[in-house]
Amino acid sequence: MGPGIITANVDNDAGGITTYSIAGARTGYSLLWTLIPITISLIVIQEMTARMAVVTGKGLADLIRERFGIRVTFYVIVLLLLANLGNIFAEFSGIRASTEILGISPYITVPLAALFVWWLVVKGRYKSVEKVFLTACLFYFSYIVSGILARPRWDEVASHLLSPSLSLNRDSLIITIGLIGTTIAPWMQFYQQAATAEKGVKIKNYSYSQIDTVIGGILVCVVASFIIITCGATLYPKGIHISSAEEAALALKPLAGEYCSILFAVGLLNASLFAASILPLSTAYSTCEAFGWESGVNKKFSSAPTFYILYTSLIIVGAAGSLIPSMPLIQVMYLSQVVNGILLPVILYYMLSLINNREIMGEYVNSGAFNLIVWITIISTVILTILTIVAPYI
Amino acid sequence: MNENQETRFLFLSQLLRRGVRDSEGNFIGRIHDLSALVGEIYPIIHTVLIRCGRLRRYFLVAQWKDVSIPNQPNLTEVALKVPRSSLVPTPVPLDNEFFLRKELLDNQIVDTRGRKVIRVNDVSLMLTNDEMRVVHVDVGMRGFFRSLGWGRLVDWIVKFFFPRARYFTRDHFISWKFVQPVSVGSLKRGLLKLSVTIKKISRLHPADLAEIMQDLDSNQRSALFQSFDLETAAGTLGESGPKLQRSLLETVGAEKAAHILEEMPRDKAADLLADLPEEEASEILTKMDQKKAREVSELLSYAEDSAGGLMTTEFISTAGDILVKDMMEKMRGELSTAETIHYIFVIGEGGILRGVITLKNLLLARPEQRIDEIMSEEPVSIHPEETVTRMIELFTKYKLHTLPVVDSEGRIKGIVTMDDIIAFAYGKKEST
Repeated sequence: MGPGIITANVDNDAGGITTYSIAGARTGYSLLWTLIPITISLIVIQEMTARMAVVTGKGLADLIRERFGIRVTFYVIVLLLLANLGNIFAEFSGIRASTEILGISPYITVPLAALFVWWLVVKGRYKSVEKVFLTACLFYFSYIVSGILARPRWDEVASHLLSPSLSLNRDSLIITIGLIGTTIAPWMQFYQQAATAEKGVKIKNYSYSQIDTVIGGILVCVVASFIIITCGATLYPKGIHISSAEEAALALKPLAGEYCSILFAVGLLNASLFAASILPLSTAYSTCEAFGWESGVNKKFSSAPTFYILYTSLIIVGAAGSLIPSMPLIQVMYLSQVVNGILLPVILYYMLSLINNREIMGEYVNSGAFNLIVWITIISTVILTILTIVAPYI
Repeated sequence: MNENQETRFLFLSQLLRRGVRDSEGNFIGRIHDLSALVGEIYPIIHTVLIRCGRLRRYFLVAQWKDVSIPNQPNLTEVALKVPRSSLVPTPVPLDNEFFLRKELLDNQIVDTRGRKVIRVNDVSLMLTNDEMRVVHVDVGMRGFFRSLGWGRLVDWIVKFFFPRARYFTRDHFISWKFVQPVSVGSLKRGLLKLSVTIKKISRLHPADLAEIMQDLDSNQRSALFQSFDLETAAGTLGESGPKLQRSLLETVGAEKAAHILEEMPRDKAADLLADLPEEEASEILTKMDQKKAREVSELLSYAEDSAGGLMTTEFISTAGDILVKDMMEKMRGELSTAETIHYIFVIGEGGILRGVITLKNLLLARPEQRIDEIMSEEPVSIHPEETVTRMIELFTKYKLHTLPVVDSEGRIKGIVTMDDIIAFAYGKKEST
């Protein structure tokens, strides 16, 4: 399992499931077409991170620090921390939402989950559980099956998939930013580059990384489209806007009938736990990498204090936040992805600067086509953000 | 001759981005970088790289001797002693020239005293009259905040809450004497520079070197390893885990790898070759010195966890009919390569093990005695195929430290020492 495929599966986390569901439920199939350019962007961007990792052997935070100095690094990392904290928040909200569906008190499950995730990573047992997580990702097939069983008008689906249309109302715009942000989340760039650099992939074996990335991207696209289609076929016609996880679960009714809630809860729980094991860790690693602090779960606390404190705090804050009684869980899971989308252009800008630098990348600089795709992504996201802000006044 | 011997200390963060005016008062640009020349204990600043222009950026270079730094606490500008017209665009850097901001600041270095890899937050410079030298790198929190531009703000905050904090006194500086740069911009130039400064790092213990290699990225690792002399490379390789060994060996050709392996103790070389794919291992073996290659091959024929697999062939041996006083002379020659000198093995015809003497007994004996008079006959030994468990039994029962490995005809093939067993057992434990 390459870093690309793992990243793709973690991409479909609590925030992902929620955002795709909301897109389908609130706009039907009309935003389906965005998934094609988004996936192309995703594959290009993740390929860039893998390429940088193979050529330089370093992580993204490392490269940013060495090339742009401490000031730029500081602000980028602060942004990353904020975005990731939002995401971690979302994961624990997902844990809370799923266990609430199952009827268990979140005040038991969330702390338990936090402890479990913390123990899993710190005691180094992550690798053995990774396989369980990955297998449980088969859950996403239920969206595919449910989507087919819901008998959508496939001609409608196809036409929306292939013809772009964007309404200028605020909701659609925010959802679109959320779609971008949840599919191409900033943490993914840092994580995939660090993981690939750590594996020590050699340039001659680079094509495997490329294939890994492409497969990952296609996986994300397929799962995301089916979530949107399924929700578009089941929830949109009934006007269900998804204000709670229960409502989101109804999308699986064609498949599971009365058991749809349980199926959804289990899938959401798995996705949230999986992501909660990776995100805080990746964030702590990137931060320590950038600032030159010792890091590593194989180090004792005394040798890498900042790393452990950071990692633990991220989990505690994320878990505690999700337990606030009237926390609108769906909103949290959804808006955290919008934050990702807003922050993405910043990260992409610096990535472009690094990957086009011949001194760093030698002959492996970006091709014109790749640069174009990334620039289009940056510009679109910025324009969408601006439009969202001014939309009510137009 | 300038009599004014004032010495000041500056930080690189105080100089970067400061404005530069020429001798006629014209504003030229901002300081982008400084270059220094390696080769001396403290590298001397050579040129200043000035970034000019707003829309279209270009660079000009000024020689350090033409720069004058005003003696102010808050440096805002720097003056040149020459007019703008005498400045040149960036020349090709000298072989021993390195750039502080590009290659040192925010990059990783090896702290050869603390024996770890660490990132540079700031650089401390010593200014005396016309010369400025790099004296320390700052890897501490204060340097971190200073480089961010928050130096004074954080100082003030810390002072407000914790007036006697060690934050102020515990500046985390590393003297340039202990700094080994490892950032390799373009590999070729990087290798040149590394070979000038490599002496410091070569003095570290191989176990520390192996750990440091782990903390570097693949390019830095390969550059550093290629600059090592054969002995240092052999030591580092011997202390590295199999994955690191393979990755290091890939950076040098089979030819050099063979030479490095010749410098390693035979058992370590055998272990290393055992972990490589067959074609690679045989390629290296064929390029090795024939006798050494044969010794290593022989060790390779034994199972990894048997006495033969753990033993080394470097031990001190002697014939029985030598006198004690002549023995001392003989030992001096073999001391440097022997694995252990505590036990000396006495060998008869055909390499048959006859007895053993401890160093203690040798020193206590009278010079005219014969070795075979003072030796212990029929020492405890073990067969090459025997297991680790059996070896531990013997070690414990007889309170030994070294066990000779003897084949079915009684010929001594090598020795196994206590630490080999411990290392092996620990290695097995770690992988389970």
